[in-house]
Amino acid sequence: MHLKSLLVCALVVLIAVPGMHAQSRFEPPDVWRQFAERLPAGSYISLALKNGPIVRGHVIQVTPDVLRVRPKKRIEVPVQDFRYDEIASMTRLKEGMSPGSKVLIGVAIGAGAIFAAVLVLVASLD
Amino acid sequence: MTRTIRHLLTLALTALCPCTALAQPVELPRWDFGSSFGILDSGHREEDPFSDDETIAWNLDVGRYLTPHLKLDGGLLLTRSQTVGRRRTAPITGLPPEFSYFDWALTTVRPTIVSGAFTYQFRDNEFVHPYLSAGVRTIWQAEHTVRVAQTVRLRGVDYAIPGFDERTTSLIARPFVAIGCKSYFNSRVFMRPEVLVAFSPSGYSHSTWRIGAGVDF
Repeated sequence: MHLKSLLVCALVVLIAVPGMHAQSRFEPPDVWRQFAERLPAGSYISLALKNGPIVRGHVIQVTPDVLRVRPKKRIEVPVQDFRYDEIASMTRLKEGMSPGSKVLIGVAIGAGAIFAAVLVLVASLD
Repeated sequence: MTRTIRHLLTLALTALCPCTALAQPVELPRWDFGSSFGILDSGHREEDPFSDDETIAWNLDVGRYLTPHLKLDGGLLLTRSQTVGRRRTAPITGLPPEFSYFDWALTTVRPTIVSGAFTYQFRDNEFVHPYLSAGVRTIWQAEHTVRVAQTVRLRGVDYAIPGFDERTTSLIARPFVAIGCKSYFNSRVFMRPEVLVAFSPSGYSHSTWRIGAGVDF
């Protein structure tokens, strides 16, 4: 019985302590509201939520209560609303090339390098 | 008390493992189709179906998603035909059977590989999906061996060495594992680099290193 009580206490502490740290770590919601209000519509942002997930997407609308974002997914998903008190952090991102384009460029560079090496080899044989 | 502990453990596990609460159900494509080019490497000549160490291979693949993550794949791999020299022995007419004639014959080989596999695709509705595959490759190889008839002279006597023209086929199966990544341009069109390693009873059989493009539909 004593052991069980100890285990319960330990678990309560384990659950509570990260939460206490988290409370002190997050900025107040007003910070993110003001930040969002300065963003142009369509900005590409990364939202870290207090419960863990990270959402990347485009700002659709900024209201006093929620930030409306269209998550950037391969197959489109509906617009989502995020309350400012759910947000742990927000960062504006620069939208880059698609992963497919990056792979294609990598292949082109590789093929170009091989072709150049072959040309050098042929030239040296002559 | 036990129930309390169980509840607390559940709560702790939930708190420690933030789930993807934002994952939303979407209508995902059910099929994918792709084609790729690459290199087929066979490690050693003991693996009879292959005639050379490396050759260029062309692949055609089709996949059917059984779940958003699990896929059933079928593939066809073709290589260019190759001509290699193989030592062959021929009896010499008019001499005892202990005497035979060694010479090179020209063999044209062309393996055709058909594969079936299960693929597990990681991540949900993202632009990059790494995956792991495991399955079996069936390798069918057609060989055409030719040697022209010739005459050899031994101690002033001419002996006719018969020519031959043989066509044979062989069929073997090899298990394999593969790792790759589907990198999308948009919702449906992707590039797919992949490395595949197949195994024989003696260990390494062959591998393919390939890159291609495809589409989900």
